[in-house]
This record gives sequence, structure tokens and C-alpha cells, in this order.
Amino acid sequence: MDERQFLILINEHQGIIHKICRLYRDVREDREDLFQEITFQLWKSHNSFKNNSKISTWIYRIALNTAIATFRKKKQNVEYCPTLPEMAEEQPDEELALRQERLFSALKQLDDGDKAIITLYLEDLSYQQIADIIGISENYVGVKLNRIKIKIQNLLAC
Amino acid sequence: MEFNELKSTWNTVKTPEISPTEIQKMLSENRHPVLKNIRKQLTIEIIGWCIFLTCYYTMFDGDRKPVWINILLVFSILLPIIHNLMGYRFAKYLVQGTNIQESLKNYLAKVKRYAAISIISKQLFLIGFLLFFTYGLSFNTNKSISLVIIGLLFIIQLVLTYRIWAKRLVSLEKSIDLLS
Repeated sequence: MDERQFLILINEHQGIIHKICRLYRDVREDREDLFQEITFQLWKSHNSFKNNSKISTWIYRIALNTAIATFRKKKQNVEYCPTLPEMAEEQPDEELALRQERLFSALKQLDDGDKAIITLYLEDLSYQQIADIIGISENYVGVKLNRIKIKIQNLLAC
Repeated sequence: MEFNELKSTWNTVKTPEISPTEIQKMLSENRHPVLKNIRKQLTIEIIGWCIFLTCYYTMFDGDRKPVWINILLVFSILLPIIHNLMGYRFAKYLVQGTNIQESLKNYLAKVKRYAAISIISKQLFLIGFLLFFTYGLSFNTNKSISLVIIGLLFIIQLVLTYRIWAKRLVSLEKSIDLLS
């Protein structure tokens, strides 16, 4: 894969990376840094990509790995507001914006490992694909997802 | 909210768009936020210590002290610099395996090793530095108090460094535990 092909690939899949950044970092500056770090790590490991797996699977693996492994800067106080500040102008549907905010505020309270598994589930990956990316058995993915779903239901009920 | 509803909400999330030109700039090491800071710090440290090493021999009576004390001082200064250079390479390659769990385990082992060397190199730096400057010194009360204060400052710095690393290691271990 040369640089031009790589740029096309990242451009096509940048939505995935942005969602992961939003889930793992609270402030815009940190998200931008994480986006850059993920892109850099993808570029550094693009030679390790094997054509027998889907490109999106490889992107999920490197992006989630980077989000968990990079050390966060000192925690800043984050004030949650009912609307999404950076999306507010683009999001005319208030109810949808509120649903998204509820979803993200619940997901952000999960631990890093749980965030990775639920992200892959929400992205519609099969249990087998999730198992391959995380490095656990397919059955255990099911067990983990059930536990995470209960946690999320409790968080949303609060 | 039902889980199908969660999925559909997730799929409606709009994300910002970054142009391919901006993405291309991100591939360069010079633009990398962490690596840029490490490089800046390393350059300042290397320049500072090079100046010190070229001057100390005459300015701080290195020529009047035994060779082994001089070697120890140079070694205690070079060790943290070499360690920081290793850290630069370490920060460059975060992905260390074929799946997330394997990669994080390998990465954790490396972080542990790196943290241990970081603490040891700081201690060696303190020992080398203090031995050099106190060698052949006749101690009075003021000098002894100064030495104790310097020692305490180094110990505080050491404790803080240890706490930072411990926090990072605990967080990584927790993530690995949750995935396994």
C-alpha cells in the first residue's frame, strides 16, 4: 500500500476513527491528538496489514489499541451539556441529538476494555470478528457483551 | 433505550471531516504531538549536558578528582539521555501484536521495563552527581544541611516519577484484565 492508497483509505474510514476518539477522549484538543496518533500508528503498521482480513477490521484493531495504550493527559473537568457543542449546528433534530448525548455519556462511563467491545458491537461486527480483534473466544464475546449491556442499561436508567 | 435503538443512534452520529492534505501531514513524525515534545525536550537536555560535560572538567575541578569519579559522572549523565532516546522509539510504536489483548500485554511488559530503567537511571544520576560534587569535601553543618536538602528533593522527584508510572501501569493492567 503506497501513501496515496493509504490516504484514500483513511479518508474513507475516518468516521470510525472520529467515533473512537469521541468515546475515549473528553475534550476536542485531546480527540484531535488521538486522531493524529491513530493515523500515525496506522501508517507505521500498514505493512503488517494482511489481505486475508477486512481493512475495516484492521483499522478497528489499531485504532482501539492506540486509544487504550496512549496515556491520557491530566484529567480536565468536563461539563456535560444537553446538546453536542460541535454538532449542534449540523444537528437539527433535537431528539436525535439528545439520544446521541445520552448514548455517549453512558458509553464514556465504561472502562476502556468494555468500550472497545461495545464499539465493535455497535459497528455491527460479528462475534467472530470481535473475538479476532480483541483476542478472546467467540463465546466469551457473548458473555462480555451481556455484562456490558446490563451496565449500559443501568447507566441509561440513572 | 433498546439495543437496536442504541445501534441506530450510533449509526446516525455525524463526524467531522478532515481533508486528505491534513491527514497526509499527520503521517510525518515532525507533526506528531507526543514525539514533537519528546524531541524538543531531548534536544534541550542533550545541548545542556554537552555544555556541562565540556566545561565541568576545569570548572568543577574534574581534573583534581580520580578518574573513576569522572567516569561515573559522565555515565550517570549519559544513561538518562540514552534512556530518553529509547523512549522516543518506544512512543513511536504502540502496536505490538496481532490482536488488542496480545498487543497490550506486550506493551505493558515494555512499559514496566521502561519505567524500572527510568527510576534506576534517575537514582544513578543522583548518586553520580552527588559523589562527584562531594568527593574530597570537608563537611560542616551548612554543607551537610544542603546535601540533605538536595537528597530530599531528588527523593521527592523519584516518588513523583514512581507514582506517575504506577498510575499508568495500573490503568493498562486494568484494561487488559477487562479484556481477558
